[in-house]
Amino acid sequence: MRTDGSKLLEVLGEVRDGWRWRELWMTLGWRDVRTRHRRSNIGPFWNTLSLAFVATCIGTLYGGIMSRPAHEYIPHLVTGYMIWIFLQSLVLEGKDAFVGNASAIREIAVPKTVYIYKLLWKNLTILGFNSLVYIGVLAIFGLSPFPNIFLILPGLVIVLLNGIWAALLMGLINVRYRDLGQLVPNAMRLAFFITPILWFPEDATGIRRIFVDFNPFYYFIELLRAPLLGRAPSALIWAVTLGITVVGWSIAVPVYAHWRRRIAFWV
Amino acid sequence: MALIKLENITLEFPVQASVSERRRSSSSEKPIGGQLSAGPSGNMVVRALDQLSLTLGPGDRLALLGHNGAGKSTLLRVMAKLYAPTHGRVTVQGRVAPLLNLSFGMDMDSTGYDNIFIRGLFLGMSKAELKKKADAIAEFSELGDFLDLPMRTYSSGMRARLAFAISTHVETDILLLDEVVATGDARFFKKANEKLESFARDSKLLVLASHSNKVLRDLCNKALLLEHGRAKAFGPIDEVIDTYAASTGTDGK
Repeated sequence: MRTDGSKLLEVLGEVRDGWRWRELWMTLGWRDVRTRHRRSNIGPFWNTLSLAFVATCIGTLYGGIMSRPAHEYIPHLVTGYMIWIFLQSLVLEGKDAFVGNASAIREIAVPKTVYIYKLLWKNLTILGFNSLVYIGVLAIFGLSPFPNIFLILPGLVIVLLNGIWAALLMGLINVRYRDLGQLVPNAMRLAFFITPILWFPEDATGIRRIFVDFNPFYYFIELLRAPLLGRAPSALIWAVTLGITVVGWSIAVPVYAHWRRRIAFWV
Repeated sequence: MALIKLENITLEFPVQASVSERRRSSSSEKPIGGQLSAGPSGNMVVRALDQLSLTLGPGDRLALLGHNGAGKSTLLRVMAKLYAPTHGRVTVQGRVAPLLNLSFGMDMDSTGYDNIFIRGLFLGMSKAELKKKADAIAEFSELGDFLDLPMRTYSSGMRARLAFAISTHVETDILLLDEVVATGDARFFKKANEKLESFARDSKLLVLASHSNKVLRDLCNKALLLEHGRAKAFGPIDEVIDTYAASTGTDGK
């Protein structure tokens, strides 16, 4: 497979052009948030409510089993779980970025990154609704995440950059090989349990450390969870997440550049 | 300025299917559709467009004619820059508004009014522009209070009216239509006709695929006859319709 420079530039052009269509993808993203809870009275606040249920039930049950005090376990659980929902949606919806918009792709030539920005925007909005629970938890346990909370911003930028390449790559592969669409949800279900969300990373010892040390999701969760809990992510966290960003983009761009013209035929 | 220039374009679809042993057509009969052949990796390849060249400028209103599967819709999609040709070059200058599929960009659970915004944004308009134009679009569609009802309550003719109204009110240079005007009733057809004529007077470019010779005669001044993806005839509308009628053995009215 050979891809020349001009094709790579076309991809970067598409990434940039997508930004100009923000009125479109912001409208579509917000509509997606609303349509999920159409005709319900509290609408998108169901996201908030459902996270609150999880925090209450799992928080008291698992906190007790692992004999951790509530003021330690519940903030850890709520932040970790809320970030997991975000990351998981970026992966699961990223693979459907093109398949799920087939009718639009066959009809009108807007930059295909529009569909990716739409899903990023949608999930950022849902993260916003979920963070109401986080704010509630801070209030109940009297925690203050300042000043490190501001590190959430560079952290989010890194996560979103990864969301773009993951959707470009998986979205493209899934257009051609639909088995990926079946494989990914299974993998993600497993990933939830082997990633320190319900449990603490420092509790994994010995050989079990591989589930923390070699788990990319751990680094992305920690990148956002640490600032939310008022800590600064360690240098290792920054290094690994930035490294994955660079590697991911340098794989996704040439692959996408080579095949992107075929998407309209395959969806 | 509106310009569409196609230089020797060929478009092949790879299709994942194996040649069936079920039926071998005799070499004398040629099926409808594009040209089928076996690709390098055993896949079937459909050659939907075959070495097609064409130049259209401002004020041209082109009719696309041909049998089912002759490549009319595919050609429209190439002009809309949705399909990249396998060989050859496509140059399109000007803003393009395609109207190929009526259900596109339409959310059946949203109101007609909301759908003006969704489809309009897809066509490259801003929300501010759409707010200004929404009344004109609503009026042109003649849907009245139906615009406040969900789209699923609309008939196909009503959907066509709305989709057509949006696409023709967009700031655009090139309009691509695929067999859609025909869904409207006589009254709407007359209105659409006037709109398209004013469109052509403004030196814009129109390409329309249809099986209705009456629609094509009324709206277009040039025609391209496609057969199995090849250009069979190109010229003034009446001549090409006569050629097509002669080849199919109908009277072309």
